[in-house]
Amino acid sequence: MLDTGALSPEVKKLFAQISKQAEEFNKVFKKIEYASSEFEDDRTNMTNELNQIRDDISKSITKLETFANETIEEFREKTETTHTLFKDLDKIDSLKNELFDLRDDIKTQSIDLSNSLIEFNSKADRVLDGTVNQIKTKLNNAIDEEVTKIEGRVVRRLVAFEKNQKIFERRILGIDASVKGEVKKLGGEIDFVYNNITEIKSDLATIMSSFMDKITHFESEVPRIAKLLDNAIAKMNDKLGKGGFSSGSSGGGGGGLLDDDDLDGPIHDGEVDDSMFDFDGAPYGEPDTSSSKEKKLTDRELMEYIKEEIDLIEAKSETDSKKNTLSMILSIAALVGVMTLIVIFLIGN
Amino acid sequence: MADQRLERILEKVKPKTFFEDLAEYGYLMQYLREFMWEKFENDDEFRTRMFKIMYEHSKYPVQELNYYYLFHFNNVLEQFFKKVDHNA
Repeated sequence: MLDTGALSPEVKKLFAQISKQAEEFNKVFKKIEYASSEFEDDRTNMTNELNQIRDDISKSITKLETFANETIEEFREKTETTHTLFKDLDKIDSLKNELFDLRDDIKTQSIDLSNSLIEFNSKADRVLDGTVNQIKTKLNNAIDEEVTKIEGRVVRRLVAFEKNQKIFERRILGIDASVKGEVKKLGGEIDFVYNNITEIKSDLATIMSSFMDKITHFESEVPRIAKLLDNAIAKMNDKLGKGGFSSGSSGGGGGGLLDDDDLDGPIHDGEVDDSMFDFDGAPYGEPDTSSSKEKKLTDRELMEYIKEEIDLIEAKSETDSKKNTLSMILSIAALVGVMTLIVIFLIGN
Repeated sequence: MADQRLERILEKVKPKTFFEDLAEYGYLMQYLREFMWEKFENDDEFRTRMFKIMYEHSKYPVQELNYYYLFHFNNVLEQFFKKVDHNA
């Protein structure tokens, strides 16, 4: 309320009411302003969104247009391809029908061919059996002939080999007898040499005993000779003290005294002969072996000859067997070739 | 200068005037009608000053003041309604 008393209470009441209404109006106006601002904001947002939607719609329309054009183009291409595919399918159908016809033809031809093949096989089997039987008989005959020939050859070779074997056996027996005689002779000679060696051993023992006796004698004589030498040296010294004595060593012996040469000289008593120990020359009256050496040489030659003969026979037999086997193989191969030619000729007919 | 100084002093001191005494006892409007009616009618500034004194100091209701405020209020309302109509 107004504090003044100058205004009538009705006016005051009116002003108070108006002020209240003004406040309410202000509140409402503020609300309306707020609502209007919100509405404005919403309107701007809506307009923005509308513009955006408009742009999007325009873009999508263009996209749709392009997509529609592309799809139409694709559809057109696909329809063309389907047209071509249908044409190809028609062609394939016609080809399939032709192929079925051809298959039926081939079936009939194959049945005919199989029948003719069966007939041909049976005929060929018969002909082949006949030819094989003929070839078998021919081969058996040829093999029998060859076998009889080879057996004859082998029998002849065996007879010759037996003859040679007998000759060689006889020769070997002769050689054996001669070798036995030689062995007996060699035994006698070995006994003789053994006896001689025992005699030589006994002689050596006697010589060694005499030699040892002489060595003991010299050992007993050495002090005595040393004394004599001392005396002679003393005498020589005395003479030299008296004057005028030439050296005895240069003159080759002075006054019958013993020299060093006498001591170093060889001993002549019981001298041993070196030829006693020489066994190479057969010095004790061994029998002359020149004839036996000739015999030995002939035996060796004979043995070698026998060996050579045996080797030659073996080589011959081997070559003969090889020849026989080769001839057999060649004849079999020729027969097989003839058979194959016959078979080829038959198949060709 | 002197008038301005005097006004400032008067604003500070605020001495009670003859018009205010008359307004306090409810005789200002009668006084103005009998002695200063021409000035009150023609001088707008004087008239507003007198109405202000009456509003501030009168203990009794003054019919002219009511009319004056109602007239102004009417004008204000008219302008308001015009503006509202214009905005609507």
